[in-house]
Amino acid sequence: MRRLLTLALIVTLGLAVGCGSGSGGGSTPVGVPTTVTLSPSAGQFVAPSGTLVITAAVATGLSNTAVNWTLSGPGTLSSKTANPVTYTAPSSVTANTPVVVTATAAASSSSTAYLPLTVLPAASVATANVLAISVDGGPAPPYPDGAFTSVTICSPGTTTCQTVDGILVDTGSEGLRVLSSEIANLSLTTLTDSNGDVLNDCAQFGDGSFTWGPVGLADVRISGEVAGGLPVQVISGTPPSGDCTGNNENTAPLLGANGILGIGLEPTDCYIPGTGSPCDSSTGLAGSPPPGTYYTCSSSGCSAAFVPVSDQVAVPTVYFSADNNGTVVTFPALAGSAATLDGTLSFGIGTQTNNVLGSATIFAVDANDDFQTTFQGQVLNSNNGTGSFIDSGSNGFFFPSSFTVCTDNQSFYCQPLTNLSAANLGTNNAGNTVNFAIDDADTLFNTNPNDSAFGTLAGPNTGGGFDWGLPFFFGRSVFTAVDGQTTTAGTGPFWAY
Amino acid sequence: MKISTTNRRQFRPSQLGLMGVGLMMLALALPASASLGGDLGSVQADQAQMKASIKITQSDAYAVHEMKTETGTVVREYVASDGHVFGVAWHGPFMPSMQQILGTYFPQYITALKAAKAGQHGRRPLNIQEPGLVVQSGGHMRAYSGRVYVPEMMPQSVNADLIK
Repeated sequence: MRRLLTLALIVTLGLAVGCGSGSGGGSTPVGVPTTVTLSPSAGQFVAPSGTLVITAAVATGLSNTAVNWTLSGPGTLSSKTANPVTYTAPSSVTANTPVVVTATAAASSSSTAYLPLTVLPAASVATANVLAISVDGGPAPPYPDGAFTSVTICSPGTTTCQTVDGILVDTGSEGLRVLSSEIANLSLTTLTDSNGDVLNDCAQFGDGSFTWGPVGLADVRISGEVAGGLPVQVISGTPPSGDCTGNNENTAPLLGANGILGIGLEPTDCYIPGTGSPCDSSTGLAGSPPPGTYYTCSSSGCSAAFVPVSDQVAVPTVYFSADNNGTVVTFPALAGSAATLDGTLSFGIGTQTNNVLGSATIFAVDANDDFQTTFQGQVLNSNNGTGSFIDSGSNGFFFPSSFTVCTDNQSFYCQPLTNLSAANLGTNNAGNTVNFAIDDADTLFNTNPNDSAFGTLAGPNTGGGFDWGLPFFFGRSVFTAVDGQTTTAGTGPFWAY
Repeated sequence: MKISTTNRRQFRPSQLGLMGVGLMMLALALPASASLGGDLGSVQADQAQMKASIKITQSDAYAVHEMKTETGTVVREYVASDGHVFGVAWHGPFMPSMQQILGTYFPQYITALKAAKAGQHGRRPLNIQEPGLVVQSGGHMRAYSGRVYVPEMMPQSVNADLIK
């Protein structure tokens, strides 16, 4: 059943975000006539001894529509030339194992398409959509209240992969970004324009930092899910002076992480609810590319550039064959602080028994992807210029208040307070009340020097809204439904918890 | 990392032409002086650089020059009666150029930013409060907000909360 569902969902995806053939891991460059396509088109996992029927279609322009199949990785193909072909996984594997099946047109050796697969150990199949995450200080501690995980990044169309740990899980941004130094053994395919200028991405964060680097296509394997041909940002180098300014976080000590897994409400890092992508010229919003986002660069410099949605750095979830409508981040409750706190990131909403919405309240969002929080008489919403949001990548509760700010670190409050509460309200008029407590950040850090998880860390967001950071996730399951994706509770974007 | 390239994407000629014109306008509009602490000329330079529409609201102690860019970001520049910009606030899907907004204060901002990040790992709203410069910035991807101001330059009757 899962295989059938898979195909239907990827077709929906293509319509929703315009990913088209790029979403399925096909290796055919845009601009070159597509001559071979595969069905299924999107990467997926295979159970031990499991089989998968793969069909190749060759464009009618070629007189010879035959294909030759090749297999990289373990398992067997039923034939080297039959179409369709059946892939059979090995009877057992000890760890998640990458496999790539490639079809090459008999009439043209340069016309190929591939399907990235992952063979799972039998014990992992039932939880194929679940990724372990941990608040553990990351690769450059101390890092309080950061949730980190591992992803496997592969050169596209190959089984050459590197597993990168220390990736920050961030519901406040979109797209996978990884330090160049962490994938030194890989050969990603960078995107260029017709002049050969390389597409670069600038991701700006509200804290004054940014990441910069080329966009590369990779096959990304996360838990048992596969995102084939995913545009990722390879963090490296320095942008030209101009609109991409601030703190250039291009090393692990600067970033506090080896990369960022952005799993926010939008499909890509340049997408606005109800509008589409202002970075894509076909959206027709602006006469020139938005500042501080995408650039094409040659040896003589960089120019701001429009980029089609299908080439934008994207949330991996929407490239999966299934479980692709959103995510669920779950952590146990935490009293006080802890050295580590283990949780899960589950892909899909209402697609498996482990990601059902249940009685969670749905919070629809406005055109900024924000909702309303009322806290101590302040109504924090977009109408007041103070929209509120949920952000696992913020390492505390952050909100405007007259509470005492720490003298040595003005980003945190140094005033212990219990029995605080705030009321959240979605644009669908659904809401509930959140109870929380905060502590003196200096005391927390000084008396718990070996801890990374703090349930009561908070700081000011003067002039802004309520930023519900990682401690909000402790003791909750928080659902993030992606813009344009269908769920059992309607179409994203929305939060639910 | 080795990089191989492919012409996966092709600009249409009309788009290339438009882009070239946009860049030329940018280059011509770069101001000699910039916003924070600058004079009215720097406001006009900002408007040109951002290709924004402008709306001016005058009150007793100051004027607000509100610029809305075509991508939806709103930048408000607060101008004292002596003609100097004492504060700038922004909201919107794209960060304005901090270099443009901060002008001569940009190096001080970068130094303070690096110090703030070096002191404590983690991502959170920025709160820089130094003598002569306050920078507060936050939000999330495609919905940023923030403000900068110089406390010493504020008109006496003006509270910082007005800069938003």
